[in-house]
Amino acid sequence: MNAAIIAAGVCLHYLNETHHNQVQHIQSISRIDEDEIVRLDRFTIRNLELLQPANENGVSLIQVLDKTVTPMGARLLKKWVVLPLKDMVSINDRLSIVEYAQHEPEKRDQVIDYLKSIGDLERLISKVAMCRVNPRELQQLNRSIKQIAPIKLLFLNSNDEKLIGIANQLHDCTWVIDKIDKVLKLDPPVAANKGEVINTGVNEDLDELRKIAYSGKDYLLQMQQQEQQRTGISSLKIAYNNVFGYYLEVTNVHKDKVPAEWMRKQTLTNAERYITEELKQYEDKILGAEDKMGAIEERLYMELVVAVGEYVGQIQQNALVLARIDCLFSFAVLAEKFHYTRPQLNEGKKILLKDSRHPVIEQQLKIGDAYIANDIFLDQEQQQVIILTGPNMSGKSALLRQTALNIIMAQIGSFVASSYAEIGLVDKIFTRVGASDNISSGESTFMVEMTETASILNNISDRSLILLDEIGRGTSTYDGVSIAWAIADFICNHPAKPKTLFATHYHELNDLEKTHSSIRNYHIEIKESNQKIIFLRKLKEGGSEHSFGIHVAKMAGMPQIVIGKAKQMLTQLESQREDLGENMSTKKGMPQMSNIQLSMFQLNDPILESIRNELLVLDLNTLSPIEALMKLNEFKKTLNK
Amino acid sequence: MQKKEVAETPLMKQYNQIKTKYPGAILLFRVGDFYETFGKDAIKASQILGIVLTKRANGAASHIELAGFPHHALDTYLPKLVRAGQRVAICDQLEDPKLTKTIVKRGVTELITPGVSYNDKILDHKVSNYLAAIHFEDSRAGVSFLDISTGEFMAAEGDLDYVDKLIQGFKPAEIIIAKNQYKQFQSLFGDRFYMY
Repeated sequence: MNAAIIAAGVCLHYLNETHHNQVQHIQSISRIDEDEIVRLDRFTIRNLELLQPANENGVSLIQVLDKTVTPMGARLLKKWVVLPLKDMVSINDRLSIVEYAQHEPEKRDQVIDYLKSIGDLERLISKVAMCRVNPRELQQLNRSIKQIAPIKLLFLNSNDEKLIGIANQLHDCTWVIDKIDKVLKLDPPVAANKGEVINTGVNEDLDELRKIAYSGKDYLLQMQQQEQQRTGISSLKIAYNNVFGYYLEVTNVHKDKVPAEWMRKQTLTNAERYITEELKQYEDKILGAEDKMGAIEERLYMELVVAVGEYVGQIQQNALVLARIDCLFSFAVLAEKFHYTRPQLNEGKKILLKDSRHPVIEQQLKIGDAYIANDIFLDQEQQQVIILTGPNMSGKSALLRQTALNIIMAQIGSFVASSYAEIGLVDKIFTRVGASDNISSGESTFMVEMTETASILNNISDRSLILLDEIGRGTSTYDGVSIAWAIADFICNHPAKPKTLFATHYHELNDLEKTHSSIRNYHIEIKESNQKIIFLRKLKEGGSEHSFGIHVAKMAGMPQIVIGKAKQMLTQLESQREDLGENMSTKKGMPQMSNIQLSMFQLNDPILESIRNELLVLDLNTLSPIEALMKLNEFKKTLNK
Repeated sequence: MQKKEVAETPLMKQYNQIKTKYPGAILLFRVGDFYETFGKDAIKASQILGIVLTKRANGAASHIELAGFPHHALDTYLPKLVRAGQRVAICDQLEDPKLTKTIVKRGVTELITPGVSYNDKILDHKVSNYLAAIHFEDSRAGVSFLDISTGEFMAAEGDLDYVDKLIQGFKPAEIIIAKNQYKQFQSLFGDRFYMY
C-alpha cells in the first residue's frame, strides 16, 4: 500500500499548504479494497450510464435510483453505485433492511420524515470542526441532532435485530443539545458579533451589559427626572449627538439654576448644553456596552463551537449511519414505486432474471406504454454465451444493459427490476457497448474497440460478466466477422468460462451454436406487416435470419432509388454468402488452439524475428552459463524497446 | 521578470513579495475595505466577475491594472472565481492599521482551490467534492480521495485500470500529481483533465 500511503500524504500536505489547518473532522482514513468491490472496468461506468447519461437529454441510473431525502444519503448512494459489493453477507444485510422498510411502510415513512429535518449533518459538523460555522448554522445543527433520539427509539422498538444494532450505533448527543439550548439563542443571526447570539443567564457580565444597553432609555428618563427635581429645572432634557455624546440641555431662562459641577460644553442661541461626570460615565458604559457585548458574545460563541467540536467523531458517525438508513429506506420507497423485488444472491455461477426490465428506460416510456420484460438466463454449462442477433432498434443493447444494471442494483443492496432474480455473485463486469470515436486523441472507432476488447479478454475471471455489443463494427465485414468469431470462441474455451452476452449483426456467428455446446442463439422478435416493422421486443431462441437494415433505412426516409438498388444488392450478396457459409461450417471451426501457440514465432514482428534468428544460430554446446545469461539480458532489452 | 527601475510603492512591493509565492492563483489583496487584484489577475478577475478594470499608480508614472470589490462581497465573488476553475489566495491585513506607523502587515490566510472547498455556494449538496492525489509506482498506482467538506478520506492501490475506474467513479474536482510523474498521468488519462 506504499503508493496509496504516499498519495494520502500528498492530500494532507496540500491541505497544509492551502492553510487549512483545522481539520479535526478528518478523523480516519478508510481503504477501498479492490477485493471487496465488483470490478467495473473503465468503460462500464460510462457505457452503462451509471452516474451520468451519455447524452444531454438522457437519464442516468443514479437519477432513477436516488430517492434519498438527505444530501449525505445522496452522496453515499453515488459511492455505493460505483462500488458494488462482492460479499454476500454485507449485501444481504442491506437487503434485509430494505425488506424491513418495505414491510413496515408506516415506520418507514416516519423515519423518512425525521430524516428530512436532518439536512446535511455531515457538512455542518465539518464546519464546526473547522470553526467556520455561524450561529444560525449551529442552531440548525442542533435541530438536526434532536431528530436522532426519536429515530433511535423507533429502531430500538422494532423487532428487527439489525435495526436494533443500528440504533446502538447512534449517539443521542444529549450533552451537545443541552449545551446549545442553554447557550445559543433560538433564532440567532448569521454574524457572531452583532448581538442577539447568546442567551441570558450564561454570563454575568453579558447580562449586566445587556441591562445597560436595553434599559438605556429608562435610565436616561430616570436621570432626567432626578435632575429635574434636584435642580428645579422643569424643561431639562437629556439628548445625544455624535459630537458630544450625551448631554443635558437647559434653556437660557434656567441658566442660573445650573449646579456648579455641571460642565458647559456647547452654547446655542437659546440653550446651553452641559455634561456631568455621571452622564459621561454612563455614556462610556452604554457605548462601550455594545462593543463589549459583541466581543463577549463572540468569545462565548467560539467557546461553544469548540465544545461542540469535541463531539465531531460521534456526530460524524451518526451522519454516516443516517446516510445509510436514508439510502436503504429510499430503496424501499423505490421498490414500492417501481415494483422491484428482492434478489436472491448465492455463491453459484448462474444468473437468472425473470421478467427483467431496464430500470432507466422503463421510467422514460410514455404513460400507457409498458416495458416489455424478458427472461435472461446465463450459466457456465448450457448457456454461457448468448449470441443475440436481430435488426437495429429492436432492443439488443437495452437487453444487454438491463442485465448488467439489474446485477449492479442487486449487489449494491437494492431490489431489482425483475419479478424474480437469482444471481450468482459477479465479481467483474466488462462492457463494450456502442461505438465511441476518440478522434481527438487520434484513435479510430475500431482502434478504441479493439483496445477495450483486448483489455477485457486479458482480465476475465470465472465470475465475470461480459457484455459485447456489435464487436467488429468499425472495420470491413470479413475482418469483423472473423474477429468476432475468434473472440466468441476464445471466451467459450477459456477455463474461467465467463458469462457473456454478445449482440451482433453478423448472422455467421449463429453457426457457433453448432460447434460449441455452451453457446446459444437468441433473437429479438419483430413482426413484418405491410412492409412495416413492428418491434415486439421479446427475446426468443434461435438466430434471426434477416437483417432489416433496409427496412429501417426506408422508415428513415431514404430515396426510393436507393432502397431499390439496396434490395437488389442484398439478394446478390446473400446468395454469395450462402455459399461462403457452407464453406465455413464444413471447415472444422477456426484453427485449433495448438496452432495459435506456435504463431508467436510466425508473427511478422521484426523484433521477434530478430530474436528468433539469433536463437536459431546459437550453439548451446559452446555457450558458457554467463554468456547465456548475457544473451538473455540482450533479448530482454530488445523486447523492452 | 524584473524590469522595474522605477521605484515601487511600498504597497506594490509587499504585493509582489506575496504574489511570487502564489503564481498560479488569483491573489485577493486586502486594502482597507476592499479586496483588490492587480496586473494579470485583475484582467482575469474583471472578465470572470464582470467588475470594472481600472488602473492604479505604481511608483512614478507607471500604472498597473486593478480590479477589486468590497470585502463584505467576498462570498458573492469568491464562488464565481472558483467555479471558473481559478485558484484563489486570500491575503488579509494581519494587524489593525490604527496600531502601526509603517505599512500594515499582510499575509495569505487561505488558498482556495477547486478540490479544497467547503463554501456552500460552490458546492452541490448532492455531490461530494473530492481532492485526489495519485502516485505512480511501476505499473501500479496509489490514489487517495479527500473531501474537506465532509471529512471523508479514502485511499486505494491497484493497477492503472483500477485507479482509472476509481477516478471515473469519484470524479475528483482536483488531482495532485508529482511534477515528474506528469507523463504517466497523461498517458493514462489523456487530455481529459485541465492541468496547471
